[in-house]
Amino acid sequence: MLKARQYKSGVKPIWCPGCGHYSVLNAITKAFAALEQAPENAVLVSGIGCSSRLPAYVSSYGFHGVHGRALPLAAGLKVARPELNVMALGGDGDGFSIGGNHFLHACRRNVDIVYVVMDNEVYGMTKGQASPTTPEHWEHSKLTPHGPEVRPFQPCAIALAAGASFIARGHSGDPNGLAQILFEAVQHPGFAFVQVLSQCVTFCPEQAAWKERVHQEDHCTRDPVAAARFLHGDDGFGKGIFYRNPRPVWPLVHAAAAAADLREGFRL
Amino acid sequence: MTTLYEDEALFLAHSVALEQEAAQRLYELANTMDVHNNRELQGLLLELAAYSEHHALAVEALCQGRTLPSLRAWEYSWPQEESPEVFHYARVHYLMTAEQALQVALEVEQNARGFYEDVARRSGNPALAELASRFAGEEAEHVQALQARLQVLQSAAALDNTDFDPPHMPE
Repeated sequence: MLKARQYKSGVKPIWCPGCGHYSVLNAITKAFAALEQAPENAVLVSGIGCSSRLPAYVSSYGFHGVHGRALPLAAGLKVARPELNVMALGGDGDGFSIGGNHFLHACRRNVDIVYVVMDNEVYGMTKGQASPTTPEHWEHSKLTPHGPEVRPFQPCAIALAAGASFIARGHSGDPNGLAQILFEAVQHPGFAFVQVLSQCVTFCPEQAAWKERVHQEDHCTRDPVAAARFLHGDDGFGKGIFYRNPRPVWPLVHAAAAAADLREGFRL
Repeated sequence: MTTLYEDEALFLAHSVALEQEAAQRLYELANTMDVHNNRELQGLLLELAAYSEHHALAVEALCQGRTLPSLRAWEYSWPQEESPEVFHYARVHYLMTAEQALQVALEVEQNARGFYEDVARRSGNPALAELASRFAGEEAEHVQALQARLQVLQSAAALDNTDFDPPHMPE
């Protein structure tokens, strides 16, 4: 049985000091320790961005993919190798803008993977531009001097509408609570979406105050109507598992069918 | 259901985790400062991490021969979300100074002292209360050492009149 720290690769993260992603890294390793996860059976797949560097820091298999494409890579891998524990990772820009359409269809398709989005409401790697989740009146970027002036993307509500079967939110200020959410998400059969409020202290120093705003929400339901009502009234700072409603996992027919069967199926 | 205030093995499991996590968080930040080429702060943090690790090893040695419960990360009964001797990630910054780092280290040592004092006060188990009181005393020593070090640093800063941008004064 490995300890959490033994799941770290030894590669030193290059995130800024104070970045919330360190906490997410620790939460993942703690969840793996609790799951007694064999490192050789876990794969972390990411896109592009600060948070997408995470697979390099974990002692498991990893794939640092193309911008916004973590989900199709992860889904393809899971379908081909269903015995693996596949976790897709990325940031809010990678997941909700560049990869936004993949997000919708991954929720809908319900492949048995976990998707962790480290949401800091900003494009950090490219020096602090507004992202899909940036508040409407955030004026800290010279590219949007009056703020984005667009309503922020609502990740959990959209995940529910698109058909995700597990929806949760964690906070980087609570890596132990996040580890528990990830522990549950990994064991959920189907697409598990976990939004993590993960502060960017460099471009959004005001996010250090998130710790005071975040609150526990014990509102887990399997009723999509109740979940929708809750998520549309949510202030964005509730943490916990909001929705868990297992449904058939895709692919319904096992993908590892014999090659001969596949040839037969495609015969003209 | 037993609590860490009554069960010595459970209390020791918390103590081991508290000290190990303190050392790990400091090593993690030292590595970050290394990556960001802040060698001065890296050196200080490595030193602080080594002290914490030394203390963790001492607590682990005390547990030799005992069977401690194996807890998942979220099963610990900490007063806050994390163990008392780790700093919150948002408390540090790439521009932080040695003085700020010592201040953060001091705060978490004070938190750890408070945690042990609270256990010692609330425990109805005399042996456990004595152990917690002893740990609180050790944390108090760390607090004093850090306060002294912080004072030396602040005094040195007050005396330092190095001008990194001297006025141009031609002969």
